Amino acid sequence: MRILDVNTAFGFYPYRKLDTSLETLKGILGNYNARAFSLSLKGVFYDAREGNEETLNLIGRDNIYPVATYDPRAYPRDIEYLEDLISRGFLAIAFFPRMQGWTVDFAPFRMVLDIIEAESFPVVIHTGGYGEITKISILAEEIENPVIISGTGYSNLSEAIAVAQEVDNIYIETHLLNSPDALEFCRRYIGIERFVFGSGAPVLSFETAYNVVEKSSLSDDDKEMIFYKNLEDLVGVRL
Amino acid sequence: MIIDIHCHYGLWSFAIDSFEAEKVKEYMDRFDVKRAVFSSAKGIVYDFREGNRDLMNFLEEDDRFLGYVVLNPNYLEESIEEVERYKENNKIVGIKLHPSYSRVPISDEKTFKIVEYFSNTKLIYLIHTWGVSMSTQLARLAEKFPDVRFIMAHTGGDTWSGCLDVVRPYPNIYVEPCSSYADRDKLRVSIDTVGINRVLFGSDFTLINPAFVIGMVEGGGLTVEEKQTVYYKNAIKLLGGDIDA
Repeated sequence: MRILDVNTAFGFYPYRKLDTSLETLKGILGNYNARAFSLSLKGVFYDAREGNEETLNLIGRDNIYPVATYDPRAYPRDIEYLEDLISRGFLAIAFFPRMQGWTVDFAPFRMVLDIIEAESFPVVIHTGGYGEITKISILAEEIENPVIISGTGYSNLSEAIAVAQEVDNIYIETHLLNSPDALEFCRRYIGIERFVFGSGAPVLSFETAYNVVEKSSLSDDDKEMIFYKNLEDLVGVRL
Repeated sequence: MIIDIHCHYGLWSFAIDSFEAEKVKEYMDRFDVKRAVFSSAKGIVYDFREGNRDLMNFLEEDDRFLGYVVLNPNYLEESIEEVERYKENNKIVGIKLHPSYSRVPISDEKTFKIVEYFSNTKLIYLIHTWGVSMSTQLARLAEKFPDVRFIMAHTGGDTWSGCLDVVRPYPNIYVEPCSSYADRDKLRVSIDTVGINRVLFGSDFTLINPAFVIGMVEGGGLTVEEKQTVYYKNAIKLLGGDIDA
């Protein structure tokens, strides 16, 4: 089964001693012959511009594809960097409100979305907590980009289903779909085409994310859509 | 083969459908779970006695089902009565305490009284832990009752690494790894910190998919022997039952 993972990262991990190097990520992906979108953790924990440069410098285009990031807490510093991201090689942009401590109704984030709306690539938002997905859906209605929500688990699955039923450009990344029947439940209410595979590797277990899809009762066709086809459709190319 | 020492029976207040006995059996078949120890979700979040009654009926549905009696230390006398009512049931292996839902800290004297009252039994305690503070309270409890066996549910949650250091000196504390976040290194660090013989398989099913913790075991850099020990060997020793490997 081909796999395209929308949620990986590499670099230094400050929360505990853990090898999250690019080489380790490549090793994990290699075990599954998987490809991935990825970004440097430097851009998440420290400085987006430095992190983005590191992402571009370190990632080859063979099986790992660069993702940009921006921290709205720094707005308007380096905001011009968000222009022409696609021409520089980025395939998506990811935001980390939960880790960075801001909420998606944060005014600087709206300014950032206004700028990146010109780029048609997917916007990945790592979030959590009740109400955040609802706020994302309000923003998503104002832009054309596919908006991929990462951070949907048993506690906020109802919220993800509700917004996906109402807003067509909302997609759900799978790494935290931790309730036993989450995928089957969602297929019934919003359709399997709204899911993209993500693992959170190498901080989180790639095997867990893989198991959740592979061990589900979904058909092989459904699993293929989640593992890579849906994301390829969103970026508009066969990777 | 797996023995899952952290499971729940009953409806959750979330978008989850897989709680009926037939669904539970299907999942156990899918993941080769030979025994699972359940506590009542209703008993944890609402009325422990009503939940325990539901659980006793559920346990009769399959030979693979075992159970914990849920207690609420806010109701101390009733909690002790509840254990007296069910402790001779051969499907009951222990007591479940959830200090967050009951809002009774592990350090509360009511918790200590419950453990003291049943300290001469073989009942095992599955205690929810989240954070270093709760883990420290569990360590004090285990220190006070060195012959009682405690399972540290979630290994302290998202700060599990520091929590492992807190409970490492107490051989009567076992750890199990389930959590919403499937940290890649949690099993390896758990084994390296407290020793292979104190790490159990627990999934939090039916709240959490067993595939979550299975992935953590399979991708955690464990040897085949370590995997078997976590999946079932330690649980067989702890439960003391006659379970075919």
